[in-house]
Amino acid sequence: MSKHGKKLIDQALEPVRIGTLFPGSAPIDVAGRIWRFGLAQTQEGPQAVFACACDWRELFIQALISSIGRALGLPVPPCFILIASRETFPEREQEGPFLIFACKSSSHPTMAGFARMMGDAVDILIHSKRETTNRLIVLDEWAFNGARDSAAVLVDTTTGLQLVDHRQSLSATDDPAYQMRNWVFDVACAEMTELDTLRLRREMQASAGKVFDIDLDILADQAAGFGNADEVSGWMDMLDFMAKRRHHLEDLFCQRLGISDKRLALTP
Amino acid sequence: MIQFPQLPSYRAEWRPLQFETIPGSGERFTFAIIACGEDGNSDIRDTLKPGALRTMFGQQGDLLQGLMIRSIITIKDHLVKRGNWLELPITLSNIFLGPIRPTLADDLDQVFDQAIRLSASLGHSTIGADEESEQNVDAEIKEWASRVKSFTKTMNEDLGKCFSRRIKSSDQANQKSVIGFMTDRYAASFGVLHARSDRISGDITAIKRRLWDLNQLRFDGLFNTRIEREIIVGHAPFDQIEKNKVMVETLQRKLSILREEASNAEIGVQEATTPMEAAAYLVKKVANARR
Repeated sequence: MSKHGKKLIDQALEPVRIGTLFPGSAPIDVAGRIWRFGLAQTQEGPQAVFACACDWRELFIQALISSIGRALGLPVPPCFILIASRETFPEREQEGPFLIFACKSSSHPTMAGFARMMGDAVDILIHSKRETTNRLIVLDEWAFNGARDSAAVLVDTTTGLQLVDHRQSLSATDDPAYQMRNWVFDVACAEMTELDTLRLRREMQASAGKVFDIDLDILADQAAGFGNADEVSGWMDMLDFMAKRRHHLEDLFCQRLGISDKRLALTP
Repeated sequence: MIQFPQLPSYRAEWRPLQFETIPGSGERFTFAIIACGEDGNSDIRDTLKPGALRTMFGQQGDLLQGLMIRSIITIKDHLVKRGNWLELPITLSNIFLGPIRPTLADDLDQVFDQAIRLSASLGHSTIGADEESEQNVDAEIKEWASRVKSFTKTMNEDLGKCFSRRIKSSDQANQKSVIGFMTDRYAASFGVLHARSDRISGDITAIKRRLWDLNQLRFDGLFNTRIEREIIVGHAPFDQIEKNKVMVETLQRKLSILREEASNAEIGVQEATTPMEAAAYLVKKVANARR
């Protein structure tokens, strides 16, 4: 059981939810980036959300990795792609309607706050959320996100840490140093000096086994409705990358753990 | 392209009314919301959950609540007289008006629900609430009764002792019943009716229990004089939900069922749309009974 008594539960990949941002939301500056706390009209009725404006590539990355993170049982709030305008999201100076990313706030009114960076919340993550940490290592390895430390994280009094920002995923960098990076794994290894490789291997195996059950086609079907031909093509490339990369996770973790590939089995 | 959900069409603005616990400290919390719709209707609602201030400030919490309720009553009077909602009478130096925020909603009631969700951590909003809390009708009735009590005590301090009176019951299985408000000639219990269609049985079942408690007074035999009995039921104002036919019909149906049930037990039904209105009714009722 985790600190807050909730066991992480795997679930099927959900399609991205859609909605419309209400006017009257309030801006929140999170390390120089403006998020907005407000209401969105969704298919299930009004919902309180944290929303941020981003380009089309990040929009899809946020939605994709949020959905996969939830399917892995991580504490990622349900995500939405919302339609907004200058009236409802004044920081984005764009004529006509545009799409923004949003995540659901907790059911208790307003009792949540952003940690400026994931690094600020590292103690909570590493010392009291062992299962979350393992699954986050898997997600970030799969999503090619080596810089989780520079992403915002929601600290929610009712549910604990909520991973809301995945924009560093699917990085286009060629820098080999970055490509080898998995911040959560590095921190976990540094903190758990007594941990034997066998135990970590077993935990990785248990946490990563789920990745092959996730049906990415659900998002491929949905992506076609969100953008123009170029954008949809870019989104499909990212989905394709994710679909292929999961088959390399076994090798990647063997390298990280310094073990031979015969001692780790993640394939379906 | 994907069809995104439409926003509601009723334009409104709202602002929080905040209390600074230590003057000059900047430590403030929202205790009421003031809202004004495009049709010119404006209103003020308290947002604090009953007991929140007592939990935070102990005995002083009751005093603080009294100060806040006086402010709400003053502003309500101002709004009823069609005073400008942008220029409000503020009775204390540590009460502040928050910024005005625009919104769209189905009606003024939903504006308050939205505003509480976005600005009042000590309040309760149905937006985003989980199923369990939405269906806790008994807790909502207690909350409604507690709010009526707070306003009544502020209007007439002597009436505070008349709330939550225990009586002996003739029913062997349930020896004690609680009456929401009782004097020597008048007794009332409290109920809440929602306009949403999915709560008919929950609302009515909870109120029936209150009717049953009131009915115990009839057979108790302790009182020689006849006691007038009423159920004071809170619901959304009809003029604020008139655009939503389903909600209007649902509320009318619930009221009709309630009146029939109450009539069978010779119990009156008094409707109120805010705790302040219910409190004013109780104060007046007691004053008239003493004449």
